[in-house]
Amino acid sequence: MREDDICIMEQQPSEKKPKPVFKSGPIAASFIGDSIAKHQVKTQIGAHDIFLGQVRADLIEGRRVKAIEYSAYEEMAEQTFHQIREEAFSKWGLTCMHIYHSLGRVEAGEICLFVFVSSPHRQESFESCRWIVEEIKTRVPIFGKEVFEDDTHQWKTNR
Amino acid sequence: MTIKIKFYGQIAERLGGGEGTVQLPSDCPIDLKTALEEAFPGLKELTWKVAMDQKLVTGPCIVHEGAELALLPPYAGG
Repeated sequence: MREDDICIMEQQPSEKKPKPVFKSGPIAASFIGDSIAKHQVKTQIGAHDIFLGQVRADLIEGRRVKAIEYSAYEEMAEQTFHQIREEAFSKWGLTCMHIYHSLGRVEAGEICLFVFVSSPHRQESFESCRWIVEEIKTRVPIFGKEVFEDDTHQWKTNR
Repeated sequence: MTIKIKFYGQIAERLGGGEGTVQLPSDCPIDLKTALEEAFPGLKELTWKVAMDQKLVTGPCIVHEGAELALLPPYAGG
């Protein structure tokens, strides 16, 4: 049994069924803190790496972004998250991995992506966390409507 | 045959809804990009990819009865 199969967080893992990734609205700092705390019992872990994506108040042609409204092709996105997850487990010796992404409206300054990887040593966590974030940005069908302060909008594209 | 198609993001906005249907020939390879641009002319001005049954499709493909197509604008996750 892989270690993440006994992870005690509320995402109940399964080799066959993708873990739910999407959360409605922003990801609260308290949720992130609780996630870290829940790993204290997993004493084979020596390194965590965390990536937090935050909505940026970009200024675009004189208009300030106040929020992003996220939507997704959820069935395909969940499958792709699952594939990324399985690929990361096969590439690195990870103990645990958790990915959460927002759907719906997230205000500027709030967290929209939480990637949390854990391993016995730092190298696996550093490398895998960066890889996972880059794969999410290029492979997962998530769409973002940038809403400006004057309530006009444009569609965001990952660079 | 009639195939269900889902629209997302800017494409849903431009085409005025989240889903529709499209008439496509069955059992022969078709260039989906061309066929879909003919069916939905607004797509020509947009950047998009097409997925069939939740997998991206490039090049000619055979669309089977009951397939689910989805038109996906540029990704913006993270």
